[in-house]
Amino acid sequence: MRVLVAADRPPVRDGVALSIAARFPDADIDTAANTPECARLLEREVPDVALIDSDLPPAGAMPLCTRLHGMQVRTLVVVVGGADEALELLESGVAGVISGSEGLAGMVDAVQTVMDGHTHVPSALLGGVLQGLITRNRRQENAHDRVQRLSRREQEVLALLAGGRDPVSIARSLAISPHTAKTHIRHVMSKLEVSSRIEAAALAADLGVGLDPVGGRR
Amino acid sequence: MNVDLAEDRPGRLGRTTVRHVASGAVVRRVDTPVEVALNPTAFALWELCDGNTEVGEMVEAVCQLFEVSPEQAVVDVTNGIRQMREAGLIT
Repeated sequence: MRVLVAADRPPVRDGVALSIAARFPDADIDTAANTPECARLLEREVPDVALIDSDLPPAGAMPLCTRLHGMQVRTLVVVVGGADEALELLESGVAGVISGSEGLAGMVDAVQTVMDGHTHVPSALLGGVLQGLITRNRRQENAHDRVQRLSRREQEVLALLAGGRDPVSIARSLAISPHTAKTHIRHVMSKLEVSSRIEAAALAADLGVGLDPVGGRR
Repeated sequence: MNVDLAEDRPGRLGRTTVRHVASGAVVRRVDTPVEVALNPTAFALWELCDGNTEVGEMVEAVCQLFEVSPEQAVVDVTNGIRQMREAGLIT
């Protein structure tokens, strides 16, 4: 097993590395003190598990997380924030989050948990993370219900808005006048209960409106 | 999961104290001798029992977070809800 430990403070980095070595004597452990060093080690060594401080300088852990997910590295991030930060990281593809209060023993347990293929969320954050997921699901369902209120033509307009098109371009695509296009846009915004075309486009993007079957824009 | 259960919205009963332990949390109702040890997932579900959150929503969230099958999530959540109900912690 190969493990990467990334934290800028030497006592933390070395302490975690030693604890992991004690639990997993056969593990190869690499350490990094910043995001560029972490990225280099990821490319060269491709660890099985990466344990990263969310505040890793200079860019933080988040930019690395998507990349790690694509490399199928089981990533654990030590969070300093609460459930919102934890949920954002989990949605980016990390295998688990750890809070500082779990201590070294908790961090090592978390490594075992994700190596076993499970997701690790600290008990103290679990309720908040589940609540965050429920709130997001409700928001998406509400958005879906609002889109269902649109007429077929209005849904076509929304799809074009999601593609970043302006009223003149929408009018041309639908073979209607710019005045009619703007009227449709106003109706779309009213039914979706948003106050701008950008909000409407963002809502549509969240729901995948305007995407072709392979995920690209129409 | 039947519709009645999916739309069930359990709420926490009475005033409670919580003591966090290594294996989860111990929840005690101050008005009764009821004291229940909950594992981390059960405690998180207890926190979600606010009288507004449906059991179906809890199942969906557990399914998403732990990447388990819907069938497994239904079993895990409904077992937890039933145990807490039988212990007198929720409606």
